[in-house]
Amino acid sequence: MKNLKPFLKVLLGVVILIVLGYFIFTAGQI
Amino acid sequence: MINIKDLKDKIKKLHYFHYICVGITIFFVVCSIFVFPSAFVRIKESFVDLWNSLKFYVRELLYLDYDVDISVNENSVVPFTPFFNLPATFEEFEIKWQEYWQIWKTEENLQAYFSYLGKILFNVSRIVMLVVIPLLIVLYMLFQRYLSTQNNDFNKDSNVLKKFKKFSEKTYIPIKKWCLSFIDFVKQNNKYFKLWLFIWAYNFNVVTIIIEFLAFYLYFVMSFEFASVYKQFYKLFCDLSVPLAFIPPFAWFIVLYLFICWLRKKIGYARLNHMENKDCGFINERPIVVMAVGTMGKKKTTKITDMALSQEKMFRDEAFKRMLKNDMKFPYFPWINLENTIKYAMSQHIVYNLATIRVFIEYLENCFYFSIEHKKNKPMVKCLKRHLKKKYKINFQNFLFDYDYEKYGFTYDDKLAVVDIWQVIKTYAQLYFIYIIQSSLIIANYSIRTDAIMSSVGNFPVWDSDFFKRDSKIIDSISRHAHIIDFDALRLGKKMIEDNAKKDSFEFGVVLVTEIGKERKNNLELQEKKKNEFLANQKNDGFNDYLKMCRHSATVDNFPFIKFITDEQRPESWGADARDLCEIVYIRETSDIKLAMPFFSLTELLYSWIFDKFSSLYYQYRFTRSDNTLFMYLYKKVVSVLYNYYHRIYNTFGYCKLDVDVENGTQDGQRLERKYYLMSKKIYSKRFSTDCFSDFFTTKSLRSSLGLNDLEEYKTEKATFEELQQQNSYFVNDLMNKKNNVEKE
Repeated sequence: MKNLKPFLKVLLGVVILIVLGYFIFTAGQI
Repeated sequence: MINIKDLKDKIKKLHYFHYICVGITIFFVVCSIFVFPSAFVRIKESFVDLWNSLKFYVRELLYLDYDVDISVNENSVVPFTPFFNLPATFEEFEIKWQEYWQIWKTEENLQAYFSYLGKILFNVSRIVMLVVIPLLIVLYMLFQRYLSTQNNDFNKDSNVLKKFKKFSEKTYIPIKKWCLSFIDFVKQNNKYFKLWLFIWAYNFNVVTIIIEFLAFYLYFVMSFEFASVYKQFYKLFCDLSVPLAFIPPFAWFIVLYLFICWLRKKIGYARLNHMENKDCGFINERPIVVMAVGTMGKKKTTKITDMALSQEKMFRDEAFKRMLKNDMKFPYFPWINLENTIKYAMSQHIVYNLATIRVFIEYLENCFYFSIEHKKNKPMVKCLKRHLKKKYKINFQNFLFDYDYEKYGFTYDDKLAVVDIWQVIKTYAQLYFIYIIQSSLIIANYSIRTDAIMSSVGNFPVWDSDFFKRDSKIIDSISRHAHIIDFDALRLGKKMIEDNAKKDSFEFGVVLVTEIGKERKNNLELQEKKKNEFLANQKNDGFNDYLKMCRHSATVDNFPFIKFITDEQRPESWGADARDLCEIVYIRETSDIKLAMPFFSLTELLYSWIFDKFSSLYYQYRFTRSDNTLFMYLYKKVVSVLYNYYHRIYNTFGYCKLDVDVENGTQDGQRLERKYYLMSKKIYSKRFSTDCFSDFFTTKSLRSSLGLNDLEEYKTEKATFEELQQQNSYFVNDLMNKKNNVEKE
């Protein structure tokens, strides 16, 4: 349980990276 | 004339690192010529753009009439492909923009993205399956093998480890040493590094981008043509395509990581400074006398030490601010002449406290008025001048530090009152005295380390009181410690030593007394003491009267440069007469250590996982064996790198939050809830010893011939009469007496 907060933060970071990645990926498709 | 022989000798004496640095520079220059030929074309174009924009700027500014070619809005002759294939015109961009959002919302694009992500994940998992998992299995098996054999080979290296150490002594260690010395050399001769940085800024068009920005700025402020902004973005994307294409993707991850490291440290320091400012606000809200209260381990001594460090810094800042305020009253006064006079008087011990500085300035004031009154008696005035020069090194044209009062004025009216220059000089001199004292402004009954640094090149000194960026390696060389408190200096009545030389020495500063109740005691404990006793005691020493009046000796420019900070476990331990003067700060709760630096969660997870695994394995190993194996040697090395990194970050950016309640010393008001922040780097950097009275107990323990191991144990879970009697307890003795009485009856 003591690592729950950092784990959730890392998870949030990964989600943000995936979402940002989608925008960049789409730009590369044009 | 340059002597060729001398030059040759000089070259011979040069360290060989210089040749390496020159070689690296030549290599970078060759790269510039052959790998980045477009950089030269672009920089030439940017200078042309700047020149044209400058001509345009001047023409528009002064309404001149000449032709200018606005080249800043033209594309480069270099056939760049901008990253993301950014269109060259805004019209094309609009079409692409709509196309982008059309594609963005299609399901195919999303599927293509997830399939792309899947490929990346597949490659990562392939590496994990092929390398990481087999490696972990091998390591696990190896470790199990180690644990299966017990030994008592104390500190004996295994054969493999011996070979490894020999190998690393001949390869890794010298290479590491050489690299570190080279980095050190480059740091010392930073001209090379700056040159390399410039060459690569040139190669990657960074210099071009800066010049182009200036060129566009000059054009834009005179034209306000918003349509041209897009072209600049296009050109920027073209210029940036060079580093993007040159630097490989894995290197971008390193660049990104370094950028995040820089950013998170910047945010971390900003947060620490913000907390420090909040603490300063908390201290400023408090009256002159403050008492921190909390049970053992609630960090009350830590808190008062922290408050004293901030208060010391604030006193210097306050003196600085007030000096400027007084300076502005007579803007043409040569303050440096006054400052140099004070510095000399301090060096001769003519001036050593606020009272002597006041007397000194009054003496100079009298000399000034004397010279005015006896203007016609030139030999007398000359004699006085000679005297001042000889005794105080005061050698100015007039008796007012070369200030032309007839031209610039002698008085100042702030619409509250009119003050003359000598009153302002007296105030300024006292503030300057407080400001330039290099020793600590803290006087305490325990030692506190301070490390504010005063920098001066002989003019006005500047203090650096940063608590968070001090290099821990140099703190011993820059440290000063708190002054030893002499309580006689805080007594208006009887003194412990009547002819004490230090009895009148204290005027201003931060007084810090830990465990004040044990020093001053409360009314109940002082019942036996009498006011008319011959020796000094808490009832006849006038300490409380001093506390009530201490601000009078420390007030300069209507500001009291004094704070009296104490702590105790319970407020009632200090007598009510003194306690009523202060505010009591109750430490209600202390939080765990938190981190002010963001984006550290991944390291935190890694550390927690790796260190937990290591600590359990390590002690299993230590239990079973006592020899040194290569596996444990490397494992410990790797974990120690992570461990040290983690703890250094926490020591630099860690903080804990105290929930405190503030109440009047009379204890009849409402409690205010406040927060106080303790930053690890500020307060735990060798600031004070938490066991400041431990030497007393060491002496006590050394007197004893018995230790814990020598004390007798109870034989069973139920104590016998004999065992109870060994306690020397009042309670047990009473019970024993009662038992004996019952038996007699």
